Amino acid sequence: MIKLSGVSKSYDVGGEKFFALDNIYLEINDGEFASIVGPSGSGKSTLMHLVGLLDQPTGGDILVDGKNIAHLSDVSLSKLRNEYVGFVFQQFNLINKLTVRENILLPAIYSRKKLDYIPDERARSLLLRFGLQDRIDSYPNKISGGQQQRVAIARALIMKPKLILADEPTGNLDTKTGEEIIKLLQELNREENITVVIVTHDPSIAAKTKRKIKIQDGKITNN
Amino acid sequence: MNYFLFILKSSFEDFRRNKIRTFLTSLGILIGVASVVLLVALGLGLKKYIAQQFESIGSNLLFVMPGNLQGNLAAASGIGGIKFTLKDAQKLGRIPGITASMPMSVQMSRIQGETDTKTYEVVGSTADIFQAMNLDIGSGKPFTKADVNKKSKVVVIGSQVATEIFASADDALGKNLRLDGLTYRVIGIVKKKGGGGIGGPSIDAHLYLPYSALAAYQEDKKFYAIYVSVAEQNNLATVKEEIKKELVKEYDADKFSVADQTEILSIVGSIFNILNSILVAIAAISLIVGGVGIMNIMYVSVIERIREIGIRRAIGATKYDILWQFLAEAVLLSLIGGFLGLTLSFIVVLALQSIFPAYINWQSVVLSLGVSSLIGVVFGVFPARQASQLSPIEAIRYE
Repeated sequence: MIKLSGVSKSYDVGGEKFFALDNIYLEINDGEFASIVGPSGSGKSTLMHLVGLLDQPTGGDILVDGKNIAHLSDVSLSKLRNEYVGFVFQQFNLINKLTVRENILLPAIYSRKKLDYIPDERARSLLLRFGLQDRIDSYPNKISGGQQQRVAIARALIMKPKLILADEPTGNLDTKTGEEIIKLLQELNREENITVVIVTHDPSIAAKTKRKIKIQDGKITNN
Repeated sequence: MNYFLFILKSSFEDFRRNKIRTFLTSLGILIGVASVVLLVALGLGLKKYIAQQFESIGSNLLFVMPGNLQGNLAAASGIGGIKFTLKDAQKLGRIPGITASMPMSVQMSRIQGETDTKTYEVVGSTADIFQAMNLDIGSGKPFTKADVNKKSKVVVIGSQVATEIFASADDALGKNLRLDGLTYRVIGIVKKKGGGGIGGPSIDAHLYLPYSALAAYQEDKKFYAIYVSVAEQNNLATVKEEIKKELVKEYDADKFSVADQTEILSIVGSIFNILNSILVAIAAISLIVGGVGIMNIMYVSVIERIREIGIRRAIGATKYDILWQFLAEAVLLSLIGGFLGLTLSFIVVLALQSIFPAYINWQSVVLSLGVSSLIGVVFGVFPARQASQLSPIEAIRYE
């Protein structure tokens, strides 16, 4: 579904080129449950941002369902992010002034697509499934970290994406809650065939994924 | 949820969270809109007031005045113009279609009555003035032709004069007053009218005397103006031409003017329009200052919400979505100021209305709200653009 071919990302640091990612070849297939592992500064977050279409590579091509995204406009890229990808962040990244329900519905508000379901009903059923139905009108800063991360996952799911990208999703949670979140992601992968890619530096989380993409100094070391 | 409603809702949500900031930011626009709308309202009121005063005097009067009314404004005020003689007035009186030709000697003078001394407008003319200017005598009688011929020291006073410098209006009749060192006997009091002279004091604050009895007239035997009463209103234009023909024998054509009420009204109106436009333009500067205030706060707001912008971009908001969100906020801020300013002006005008006919017309309502939104757009677009240009990845990483 997503193919990176010869992708690099470099920055100019004091007149010299610093490669955060260097000549990456990577293919992520439909229905995969994969992890990108590596120490901090290895370039794994940069890789996730490129896969998630938040950033553009300085070299190489990224193909989404066979389509090169290099020349897409901001509107088209935003549309892809909106419909194709769901993000889950370490910091949860919920908007604190919006309620749980409004946070989950936000992607649907930015959507230009005619949806074949009612977003509000989907939001409710997701919250019910995650056991958060009585938190629907709470504000994010009034609920626990684990609850916030589940709200973030519900937000990622509202548009029925094909791909969920989770950047250190357990990094701000205790071990038990972290495990629950990973379980939830496994469940989504198994039951709904959503491709899940988890970025982590934690080997115990990586151990739970079927495929491990190891990255060091901007290069993939195993695949 | 509808996209447009959503943008409105999230803007108001932000205002609700920052009530004081929102109010202070829109304060500039509030003050600007209120001062512009109020100045326009006062200007409109003033024009209406003057028009009312004109309507209260006869509408088939022609005013022969020094200076060129079509020309510069200084001349229109009579400064440095010519003066007319009694002979001029008499000659004009012989033109067919003219019922009365009244020489006018007008001065502002201190009048000493029984209980007080005050300054009023003193009009020296002939006995025709009462009929020509619709001055009804409430008590007593007007002065007569004979009084003019005999230079009788008699005076007819306005009702306001009677109440202000005598013990009571009824009391004034038959009493004496002093003007320019001479003593005059009050023989009549004009009925209260509420109107007035040419943008000057109320008609109730005038005194009318035989011109021949005025000390000032005795000095140069000249008149400031001649008022002419025309029998038929349709005849005004022809009579006007006849008057010009007659006077041109004596004076240069650009040294005097013959005007009817509507002309004078439009001249006075245009003077006020110019003054009012200048005042409104000065007040409008505060609108720009208000706009800069909004721009300032919007820049701060963009910085404060970089992370929020990043989150929105990550879940699918386009640059335009972000642009619209911030632009809508700036416009709403400005409109809130506009609405509050308008409300304030309505209250002030309502309070003023008992003493002054100020009013707010629909044009100033539409214009002030239009200008506020425009200011919101103009000063909001730069911060909004800055917000929309943020790279999603840098925004979401922002701490």
